[in-house]
Amino acid sequence: MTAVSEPTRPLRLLWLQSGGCGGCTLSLLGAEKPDLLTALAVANVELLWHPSLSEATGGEARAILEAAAGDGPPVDILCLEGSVINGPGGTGRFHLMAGTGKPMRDWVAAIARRAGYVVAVGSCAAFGGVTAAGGNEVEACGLAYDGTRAGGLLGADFRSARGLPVINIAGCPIHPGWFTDTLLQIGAGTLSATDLDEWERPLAYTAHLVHHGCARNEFYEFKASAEQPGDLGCMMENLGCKGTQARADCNIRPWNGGGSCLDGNYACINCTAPGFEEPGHAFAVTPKLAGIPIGLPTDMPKAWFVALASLSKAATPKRLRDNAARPTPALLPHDKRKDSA
Amino acid sequence: MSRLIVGPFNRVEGDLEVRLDISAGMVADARVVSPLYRGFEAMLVGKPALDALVYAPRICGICSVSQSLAAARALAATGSVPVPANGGLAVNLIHAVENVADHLTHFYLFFMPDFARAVYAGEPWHADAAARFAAVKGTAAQDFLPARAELMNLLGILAGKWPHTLAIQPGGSTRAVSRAELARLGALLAGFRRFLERVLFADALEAVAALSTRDALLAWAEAARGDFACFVLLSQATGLNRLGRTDLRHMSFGAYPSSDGPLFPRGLFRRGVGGVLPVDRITEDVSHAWYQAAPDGAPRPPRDPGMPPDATRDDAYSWCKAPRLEGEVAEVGALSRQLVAGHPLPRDLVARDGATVEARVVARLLEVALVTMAMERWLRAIDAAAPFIDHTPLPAAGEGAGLTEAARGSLGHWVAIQGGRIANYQIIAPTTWNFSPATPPVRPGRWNRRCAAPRCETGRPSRWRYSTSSALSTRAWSARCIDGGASHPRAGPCAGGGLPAPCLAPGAGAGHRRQRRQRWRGRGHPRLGEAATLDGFQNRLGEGAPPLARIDTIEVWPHDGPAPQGFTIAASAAGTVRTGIVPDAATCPACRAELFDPADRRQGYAFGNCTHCGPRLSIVRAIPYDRANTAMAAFPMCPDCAAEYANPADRRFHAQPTACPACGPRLWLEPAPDAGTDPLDAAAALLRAGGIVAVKGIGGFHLACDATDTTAVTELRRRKARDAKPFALMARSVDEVGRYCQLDDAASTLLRSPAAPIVLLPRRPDGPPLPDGLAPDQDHLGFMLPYTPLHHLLLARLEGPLVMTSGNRSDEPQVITNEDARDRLAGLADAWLMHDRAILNRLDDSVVATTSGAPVVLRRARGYAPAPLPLPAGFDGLPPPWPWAGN
Repeated sequence: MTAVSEPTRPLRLLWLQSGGCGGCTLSLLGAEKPDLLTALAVANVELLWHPSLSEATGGEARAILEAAAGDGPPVDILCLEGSVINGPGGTGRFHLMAGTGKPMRDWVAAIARRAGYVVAVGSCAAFGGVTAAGGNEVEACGLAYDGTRAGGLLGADFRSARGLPVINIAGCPIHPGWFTDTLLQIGAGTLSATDLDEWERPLAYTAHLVHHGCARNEFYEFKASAEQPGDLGCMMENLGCKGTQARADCNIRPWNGGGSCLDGNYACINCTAPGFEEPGHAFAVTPKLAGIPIGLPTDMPKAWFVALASLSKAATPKRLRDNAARPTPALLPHDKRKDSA
Repeated sequence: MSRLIVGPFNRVEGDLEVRLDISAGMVADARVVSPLYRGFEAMLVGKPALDALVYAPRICGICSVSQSLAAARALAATGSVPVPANGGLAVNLIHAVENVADHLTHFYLFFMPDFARAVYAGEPWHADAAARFAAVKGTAAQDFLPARAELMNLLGILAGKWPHTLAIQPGGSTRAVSRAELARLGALLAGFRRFLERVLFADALEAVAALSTRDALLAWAEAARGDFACFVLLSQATGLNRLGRTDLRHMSFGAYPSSDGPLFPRGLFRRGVGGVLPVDRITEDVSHAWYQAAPDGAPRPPRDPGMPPDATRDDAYSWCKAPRLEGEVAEVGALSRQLVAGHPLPRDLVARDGATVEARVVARLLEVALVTMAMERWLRAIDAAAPFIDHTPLPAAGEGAGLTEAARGSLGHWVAIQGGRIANYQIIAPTTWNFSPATPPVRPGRWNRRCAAPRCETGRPSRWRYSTSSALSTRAWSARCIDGGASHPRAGPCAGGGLPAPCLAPGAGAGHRRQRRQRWRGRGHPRLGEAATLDGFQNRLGEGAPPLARIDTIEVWPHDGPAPQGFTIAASAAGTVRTGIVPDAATCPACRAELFDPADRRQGYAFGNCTHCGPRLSIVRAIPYDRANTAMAAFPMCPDCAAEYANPADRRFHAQPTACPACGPRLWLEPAPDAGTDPLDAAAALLRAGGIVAVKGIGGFHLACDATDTTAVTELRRRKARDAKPFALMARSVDEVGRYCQLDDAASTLLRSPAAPIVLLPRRPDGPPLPDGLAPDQDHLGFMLPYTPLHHLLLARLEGPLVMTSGNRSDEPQVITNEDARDRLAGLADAWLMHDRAILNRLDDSVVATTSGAPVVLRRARGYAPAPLPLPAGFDGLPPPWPWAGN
């Protein structure tokens, strides 16, 4: 861990938006324990400008950008939400920063090269994300990646003024806690390269699999599978769920007070991973080869998985078999001592 | 002339730029620029159909659920996917949470912080406003964000997460909720209500919802202490009721469907007049947007694939396409939605000041109150034991549109599927309606209009206010269009109700030879005679007219050639259609008398009618209104009926739907009763035993049960999954209505009128007890009288009033065909009282209230539609008329 001295002045955070939906900001507004304002205060962060939240507008906002890009003090933290847009034909004209006539891409690059920390908020800013789906007509990429290929807008070797690569808080959208945890660590001066995973995502949430803490784990153990959206069983075999491969703590750190995609009875689509937007198959259908799902857990020998799956299918308790393909349980756990008492 | 470019804008959801041309200190021209293109429509082409549910919400992070909903509905519409009642309710709740959160996010985080700006520092209210509403630092944000997060906790349970849920599917919601979770949701919602009633309104939601005039609002704001009252006072201080004024058609796609219609209906509104929204006349224009022009240069309907982007066009300035309705700009948003829905407060605000910044913000917050109360009802209506989703698969090929309302206004998705994959996907988002570039002839988008008037304060551009919230990440549209030309001049004549013998009788007495000719231009009465006599004839034409006849115009022209002999009604001639159809009318006293006259050949016959009464609009397939163009074409007249039809002295002279037991429609009950049992007797027995019977009426099916039977009423409410909305009642006579409700002359006249609407009447405190479930917590009941022979015959067999509620499932319109009734009302009805006269036009029962003796039509449908509404002054010369129909 690199020790960084506690800043005495507030850390100045500039937030820009480009090719995205704005959903990460909206998700972040729902932060709980701590809420966003508390997190900003505790991290000693001053919101220099955020397009959705600040009073400054028009010329005032342009002045902030110009200072950050060249002739003023650099920002401590630059956050980009949304993809970098390079189209059409590499011109960047698909997103000109309002009021400036200049591609947003160029503003981001200029400000990032002077910033203390550069944070990609969401999978769009990290890897290109949904904006890069289909034929990627708009030539979207991330700050330091174009899908899984290192580079992006800033280049594979980019390091911010504080010596870190772009911090990729990937997710579509981000969980507010992923951002506030990162911000609090930056504020405390404790965030280092060892806190990031192989895609420079904070390990605070990518040390886990979505599978961890999934309420359907028992169905998974016995391969008792859901057949239709809304069924209780494991969604890996039929409904496209990637929870056993996806890196995030969604079933440990609840969303909106208590939910997750799996708790909502729909599949994990691995939205924290580069390239998730083009899975190569229908999102809600598990691609199979000879009846066996292709996307098995990454670090388990396939033969073992198949062998264990056949065994556990044979041993599936009636309760799980009966409940798996239903939206509400037909059988509940039951303590037999009560019957003989 | 100088140009000022303003941007980037703060506190919008996305990027926005405004270019102003300034001349002599005034804004001469304003252009709103959306400077970002994302290309969603192209992205979706070729994807598996259901993948739209993954991509669509990611169009916009603030209206993610609305996007999901539009996609799910568009996909469902490619085939026929029913949504179970719970699914509709759960999806409504998910949608409502997002929309309410959006309104409050706009209010607290985007809008109110402007009052904290230094430019207002000299104002006496500034210090307080800044302390409360300053961006990020004000106390309001600290109060609001935790309340918003807790509201979003509803979505943790109902939708897994927000934004970007996959819970919303074509067939409902993936997330069944248990009874315990329902209780928890109720508690979360109660917590949210508490925030609203302590902090935002500082008053009961019901009190806010009941504000009906601007004066009442101002008086309320003087006394109240919440943030909304604060806004109202600041609005007076800064004149927001004079800013951002528009005078456009307001449009709403309608929102929150339920078994008894949407909470907010679909429609149009302008200058005090509502109208039906012709969705198929929406187009997109790219005259000044960076897209290739269509080969024919015309705007395109959203069913057609869009044109690719073209950033090189010099005559373009925005990535927003320009959606137009019949070639015109329309305004969308909470204000438009509430104007269309008819809430008195926004209607009064707009009647006084026009559509202004103040009215838009008031409408948003009013909607917060209305929708929160509706959420409480939907939550109570969920039955944890019933399904939340239907798994009917989508077809491999088809087209569909999904229309809904995001908080900021009307959102539509149009999809075409081929081979299970998306062949075309077009999106028209609210922001594109409000922020669109100009289209030829120069017709700036709504925001352009808003900017072009006020004095420019150079150097202080940040004092602008845009209550129109924009969700600019939603752009990336393609080119589409339509030609917005008007086709039907709004000609008044609306005959066809039968101007038969009686009105002609005076002429016959005067010894004239007349010829009556039905023409596609309406029914004229060319006649021969001396000028003075003819004038007298003309004056008397209307005197003896039957109740349903209406003469809008009489055309007189000279006759050449020999005088025709005798009186004839000439066959309808082809030409330009200028007539309309008259409304359906309740059984007249003469027909009712026949019904119970043992000597009459129509005694006990459920489908008798005459020129004074019977089905009209509901059975019309085309105009002119001749039997061959109606559902009665399937029933050739027997000699007796034909004789009546041909006799000018008969009440049935040219009564197009006339019928009798020998030749007309027949009635039956399903499942069939014992052989020999009269279907009406069997139906009455079922009702008496507490059963629920689907009854085919004039404009659709009703679900009927004994209104005095608590068990039956409760069961009906359970099966329909209907929340607390009252059930309509049918009583056999005015006297019987009077036993339950207070009646005055005006109300009695309304009940007996040919329109036979549902009349809302105050309950009599001393009236006989009725089940609570009829109209929970309501001090009014909605009664109507029997309006078809079938109703009269059924009511005559029963002792008390019937519940007659619309026969439909949640999210679906009232059922009108026998097949649909069997299919879609299965599980709702115990039996079906059906007939073989087709209903061609669906018509709900109209609903009327009386205030101080004056009727106020709350739902204008059966009995009123399609009679024209007069346009107020100022509409003369308006080129495209709006088609009117039952709504």
